[in-house]
Amino acid sequence: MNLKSFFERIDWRLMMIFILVAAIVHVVETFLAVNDQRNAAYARLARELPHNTMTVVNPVSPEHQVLPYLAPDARYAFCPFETANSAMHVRALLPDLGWTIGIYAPDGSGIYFAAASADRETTIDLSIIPSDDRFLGLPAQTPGRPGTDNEQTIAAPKGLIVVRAPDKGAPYRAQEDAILAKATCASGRT
Amino acid sequence: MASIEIGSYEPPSDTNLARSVARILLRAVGLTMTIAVAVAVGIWSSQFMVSRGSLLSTDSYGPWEHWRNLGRDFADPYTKAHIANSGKLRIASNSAGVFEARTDNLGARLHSSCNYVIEGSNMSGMWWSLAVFDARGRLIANDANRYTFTADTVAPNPNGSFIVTLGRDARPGNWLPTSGAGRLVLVLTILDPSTGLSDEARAERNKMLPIIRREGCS
Repeated sequence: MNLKSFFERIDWRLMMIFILVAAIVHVVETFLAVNDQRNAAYARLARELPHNTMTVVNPVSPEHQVLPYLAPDARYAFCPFETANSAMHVRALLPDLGWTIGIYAPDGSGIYFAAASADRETTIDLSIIPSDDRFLGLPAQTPGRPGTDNEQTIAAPKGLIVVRAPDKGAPYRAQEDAILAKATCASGRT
Repeated sequence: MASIEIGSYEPPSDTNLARSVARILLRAVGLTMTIAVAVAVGIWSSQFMVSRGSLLSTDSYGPWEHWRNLGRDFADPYTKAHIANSGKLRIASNSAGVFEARTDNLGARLHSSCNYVIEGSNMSGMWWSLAVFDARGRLIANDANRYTFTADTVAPNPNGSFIVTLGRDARPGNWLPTSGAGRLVLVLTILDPSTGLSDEARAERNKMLPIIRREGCS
């Protein structure tokens, strides 16, 4: 069969229907997947952990792997938060290279991220307010916070705060756990 | 006066009727099959592009795949769906490079029945980690409790480069056990410096990703 007779045998109407239906289904399926947040990291952790409280989870291991592809290269503290009733206040110390703090929207997109530098420790001080224009009271006076490098206010109705302490090996674990345990997220006035 | 000639009505023969019905049925079956296959192709292509990425959403550096707009506001729908459906918690691509490898440098699927050598260059000043998972993102249980190496825990070569080995049997040095896991996925995370990384520096970093070499299979 030569090329000409091959093309003559194709039903072009069916071919167009095929391409059109496949394209429509592809687009619909993709957007359904975007909006299906049931398996997202936020949804999984929000089901398991208390809200508006920083929780240091067990060291990641095959028995304690809270999320897929979560490596035991770090200890983690999570805080699923909602700012529906009041603003959130977040404070964390990032003492050395590899320490990070990230704030994620429920869909997994990053709202805020900071990493420590190698030569000095960094204290992160964040206020998270709802993204609408609600009045949540007057901001508290906070003149006496020494050593705070990053005081910022960000807007997010809900999401996930993740503080990450890199695993440097057994001799450092107790010290890292102690610093990680001091990370806080609490609801209250800004 | 005009006259109208009326032709006599001839009922279709049984054979012609059967042919017409068969032709209509054949077309209906063809159309149904076309739509069914198109629906299957549409679903499969979407799921593949969401789970594995494509040229629209990922960059490849040898065996390493990188979702270029991961965690960013303007990410494409495939990237957003990938994060939403996989349950991964990943640092955004403007703050870290997160790379996944499912094959070695020659394109063969990573598998726990084989031994691999991963050779990385000196990444001084950056924090990185290399972890191995099974195909579903689970850690591979082992008696040595080894699942990952980081910039802090790897034993580097004198020039700062490093070698990590994957395999079933214990080896000296930076060995990650993979026994019984089946297909493997390597995840390399490289944090950007706290001062950020320019696009040029990021491109330079991506050129120096570790090489994955298969040593042998059993």
